[in-house]
This record gives sequence, structure tokens and C-alpha cells, in this order.
Amino acid sequence: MKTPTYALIDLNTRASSRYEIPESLYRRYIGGKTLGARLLYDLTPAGVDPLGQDAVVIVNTSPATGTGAPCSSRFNMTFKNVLTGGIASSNCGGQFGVLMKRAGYDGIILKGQSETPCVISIVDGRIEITDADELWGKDTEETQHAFPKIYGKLVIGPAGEHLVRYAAAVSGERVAGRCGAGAVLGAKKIKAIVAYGTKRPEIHDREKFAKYVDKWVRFLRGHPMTGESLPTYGSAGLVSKANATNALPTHNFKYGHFKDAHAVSGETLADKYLLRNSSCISCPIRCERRVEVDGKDVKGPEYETCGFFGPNIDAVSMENMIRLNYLCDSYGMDTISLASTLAFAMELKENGVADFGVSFGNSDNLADIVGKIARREGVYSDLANGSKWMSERYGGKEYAMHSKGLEMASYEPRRSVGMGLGYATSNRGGCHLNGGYLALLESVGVLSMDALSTSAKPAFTAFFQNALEAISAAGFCLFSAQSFVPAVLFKIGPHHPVTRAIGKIATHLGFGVRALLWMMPVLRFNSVFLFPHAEALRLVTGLPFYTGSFVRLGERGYNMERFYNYREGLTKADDSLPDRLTQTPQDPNNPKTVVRLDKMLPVYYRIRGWDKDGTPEKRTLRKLGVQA
Amino acid sequence: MKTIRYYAPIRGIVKKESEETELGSVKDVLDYIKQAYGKDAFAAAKSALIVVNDVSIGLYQGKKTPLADGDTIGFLPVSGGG
Ligand code: SF4
Repeated sequence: MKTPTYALIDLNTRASSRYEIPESLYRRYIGGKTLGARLLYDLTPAGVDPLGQDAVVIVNTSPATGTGAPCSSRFNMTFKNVLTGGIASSNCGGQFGVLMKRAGYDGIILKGQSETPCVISIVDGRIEITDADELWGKDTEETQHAFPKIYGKLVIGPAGEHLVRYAAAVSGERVAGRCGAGAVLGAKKIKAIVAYGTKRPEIHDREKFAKYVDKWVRFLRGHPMTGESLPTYGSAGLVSKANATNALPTHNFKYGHFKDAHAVSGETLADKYLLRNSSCISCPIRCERRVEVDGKDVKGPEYETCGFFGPNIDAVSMENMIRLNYLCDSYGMDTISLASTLAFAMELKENGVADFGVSFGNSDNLADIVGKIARREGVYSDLANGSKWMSERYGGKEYAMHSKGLEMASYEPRRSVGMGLGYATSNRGGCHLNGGYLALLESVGVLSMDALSTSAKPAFTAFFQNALEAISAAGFCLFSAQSFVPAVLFKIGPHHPVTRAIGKIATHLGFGVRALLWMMPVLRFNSVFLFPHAEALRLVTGLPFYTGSFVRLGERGYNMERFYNYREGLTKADDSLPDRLTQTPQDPNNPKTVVRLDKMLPVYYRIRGWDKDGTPEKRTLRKLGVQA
Repeated sequence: MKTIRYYAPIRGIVKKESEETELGSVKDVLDYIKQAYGKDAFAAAKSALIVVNDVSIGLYQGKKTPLADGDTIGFLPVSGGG
């Protein structure tokens, strides 16, 4: 069996060596974020400084990366989270992963710190580390232009150099945005990693795989979600949907509905600004939008960016939003954490606590301020530390909208309480995807469970956290999973009695989902309608992946990440949300519009096989094959 | 006076972005669409995410939701992903 080959790169000595992943580790953790979590646990002692000499950064691919399967160009970065102190994984769709694999490496492990700025180049199996003084200070676009077009690039901008805690790493125009991926590279003085090669990826059964890919692509193209909705409106199409269910964070999550949401919606983006669609490599969905602003053809904003540079700061300028999106990519900064921190600063000003020159309703001066944050100029250096740090320094913890230190995504959990549980328990902090993304079943999808009921949410959250974890580990974009909602429901629509009945039944299906979780080992089938990823992974690796063992892989990864967090000192107290969400009803006339973590967490822990303090029990780890 | 707003895919069938109406409920508007624009438009309208003043009719009284003067009823595409 061909196991993954990694390169171990020591920045102190500028030397590299091959690192073969043992077969037992590969079989259990496969690749991407799950294998990343295992390696990070094994290669670093507890308590390292994420920006220090002993920190390790893993940039890796998965078996499916670059195979031509739908949405399979993704790569992953795993490191100690700069914002939370726990695990971080950040996923990106740029070309870098595919070309690193073609260059002969499934992953790289970065250790130590370079004294001066450097570039790592991985070309046809050869690794070189060279000086990059002339690139230091340049934005991500200029930096990438310094290398041949055919290379895959992973670079940082000024924000990463200045160790902005939510700095991003950028590949092409795609971004490993969350948790400080740019800062950890900046701390090692890595300005860019570039890769090129022509090696074909390993595929166990090439013929069957090619046939299956055809079938899967046809299915995705024919599905209303992945064949129509995402290509037409991109993720920005969600603005109106979230607004329609009062789940659109507005005024720093104080409200869930924005009366001018239309101005910053996917529909307006498509009507007035869209030039054409674009995509990551080998993606039939093509969710990326190209838009025009100031006469420039740029990447369009995603839903999160629309939500956070729009309703969450009460701003209505689409032009400003597109500019800010572009600037954040140039500086290399996560739009979610940045914009949420700005909203927090706006509320500090509204409450007379501190004035950073930002206020609700005005996005005109933000381009200038975003630059100051990226360069940590003066008082703006405080904003570069994120909302948790800001709330510890200035007060206002009850409205600093993060979990564990990572700012939450753009779904108001008081109208999507399962999403609230997901944010609180997500291993990397307030992330909708790592949190199981129940908002899709509660407030922004075609199917609506009762968004305020806590009943089945712990079971659904655990199930979808595992499933999304597995999809990511196998190397697929999570959008490829959106076709699991039956196409017929899109045809009859969200208000049809059948759709509503299914939503109601699902609301009380906790026991069913728990039984399903328990039955995983015996679910030995694969279906293009459910998790086509499992069949693709089986054909690529030759390993016996079926629906059940595939979701189990996700469960193993999730527990591994949790175990890392536990070792780093994160406790039950970190499975929390700001008081605004747990204590203050969004609708003063409806006491159910709060997130009842107190009710959901104990059930969730039980389902997960964790003790009442949220620590994975020994037998759970043993069952999953996770060893300390 | 109330406003009806159309988005894809129904916009492509009725060939307009919006129109004014005096109808009194969501159901009346759906019936009007069926009569004025035919079966395909009706099917697209029924399966859309229907909002009154940007809030889903699922949070009001469904198709029985009344429309008051100044209200806007919208037919949005159903989507997801973020
Ligand atoms: S769905 Fe969008 S983000 Fe995902 S792989 Fe395709 S283009 Fe990239």
C-alpha cells in the first residue's frame, strides 16, 4: 500500500527530509485535518506558543486531492490556533495542494523559525529554502506574481507578517482564512511556499473511479442546489434566506433581521455586479463569482463577507463590501474575524467604552482602517488581536461574538439553536462548518426543522460534525455535500405540506439519529445521494470505506481534535457562547429565542461518549482507535 | 397598494421584476400568478421561498398570511450553502 509521503522542513537549519506516514496512522486518519490533528498532537508538546519556535504547522492534502473527483482541489492547514489556543484547521481551494502533490509530497510539516524572510519551493520532489527579503512587505497579489504562473502558491500578506491573529494564507484567490493560518506562517518568516510537479496522483482503481466521477458530476449538475442555486447566486444567495428567518446577524448579533438586506444580497450581487462564474480546479459547482468594482475584475464576496460587512455593521454599500473583500485578500486577513471584531469595536463606541473611529452604518472609512489593522498601526494593533482579546482588555464580553476565541460565522444562533450548539462545541471555535452547520436544516435551507427546539439538535449536531469532518479529511469541498437534501424538496419548495412535515418529523428524530450513530459500523453501503465521497475514497485508496466507516472516520477525527484541545487546557467552560445569545432573547416577546446550551450540552456530551465535563472517555477513544 | 417582487427562476417566466397589486393575502397572489402567467409560473411561485416584508411566510400564517397596504411580497430562490 502506498502511504502518504510528507516532507519535514526545519526552518532553523533550512534542511528538509522525507517523512513517511506509517500505514497504521494512514488507515486510521487518512489525510487532511484528521491526520493533521493526529500529527500535531504527536509532534508538539503541550502548551507551545502558536507563534513560537516550537510550534509546528502542517500543510497537507488528502487522498482525493487532485484526482479529478468533483470539488477535490482542497488542501488543509493544521496548527495550534492563534485565537483559541486549541486545534486549528483551515481549508483552502487554491491550486497549491494539487501542485504540491504533483511535486511528490502529500504534505509538509514545518518546524522551527527562520531568522529572515524565506520562500520554500517544492519542485519535482526537490525542496529549496531561499531568502525572500525583497518580497517581505508585499501584498498577496504582488507576492504571487513573483513566481511562475504554473506554480501553486501559498503566500501571506502584510497581516501575516505583522502577526495579526486572524491573518490568512492565500492561494490564488482562495483563502485559508480562519484561526490565524497567515500568522503562523508569518511567525516562521515564511512569505511563500510554492510547488510544481507533474506526478499523477495515486488512484487504486482508475477505471471504476473515472466512471464514478462521471456519475457524481451528472448528479451534482442535476441537483437544484449544486446545479442551479450555488452556481447562480454563490453562497451570497443566503443573505435573503437568513434574513427571512431572522437568522441574519445584524448590529453585532443584536438582531437577526436587517431591513436593507436586499442591498447586500446575492440577488443584488448577481443582478448588478456579476461578470461571470469561476471555480476551484475540477469543480462542477462553480460557486465563485467574478464581479466588477472600480473597473477591476475581482473575486465576489461570499455569504459571510456579505453578512459581516453589511447587516452586522448596519452597512448597505455593496461596492464597499466588494472593495473590503478584495483588500482583506490582498492583506491576507480573514473577513469573518476582522469584520466581527470591527462590529465589536462599533458596539464599544456605541456604549461609550472606546472609540476606534468606527461606527455602525458607516463602511466608507473601513478600507483605511483595515490597512491600519493589517499593519498593526497604533491603537489598531488592538483590533488585530480579535474580539476575545479586545473584550478582555476593554470589557463587553457579553457581546464579543466568538466561541473559544474564534469569531462566529454569519448565522444568528438564537434562530438556529442547533447551530448555537455547533458553534459552542466546534473544536476550532465559533465555526459553522466544524460546528456541523445545522443552520442549513434550521433556518437557511429548503427543509426547516423547528429552529427553536432543542430536542434533536445534539444528535444532529454530532452526526453532521462527524460527516463534515470526514468529507474534509477525504479532500472534498463541503459544498459538494449540499446535494444530500433530496432534489424533490426543492421542486415542491419550503412551504409545501410535505416539506414542512419532514421538517417537523426531523425535529423529533433525535433517537433515530442516535441509533444511526450507533449503527455506523454496519452501514456497509455507498450511495451517490448520501455521501458519494465515501465511494470515491474507497476507489482512490482501496480501503473499505462505506457510509458507516466514512462517518466513523469523521468521528475519530473529531475526537482527536477534542483530545488535542483537552491537552491544551480547553475545558467545558470553553464550550460556550456570549451571554447575548444565551441570556437575552432575540425577540423580547419570545423567551425561546435564546440558545439553551445548558439543556443541549449534557445530552450532546452523552451522545459523544464524553464525560459530564466534556472530556472524551477512555472507552470512547478506545472504540475509535485514538491513542493518547 | 402592495408590491410583488420576483426573483429567479420565476422572474424568467413572468418577465418582470415587480408589480403593484391590491390583493389581500399570499394565497390571492398565488392564484393571481396562476391566472395571469400560467402553470409554470404558478409552480415556480409555489416552490419559491415566499417572504412578506423580507420575512418567511413560514414564520407568519403560511399561505394565509394577509397583506396590508405598503407590504412587499417576494418570491425568492430556495438555496443554501455558506
Ligand atoms: S463549490 Fe465553490 S468553493 Fe467548493 S470547490 Fe467548487 S468553486 Fe471551490
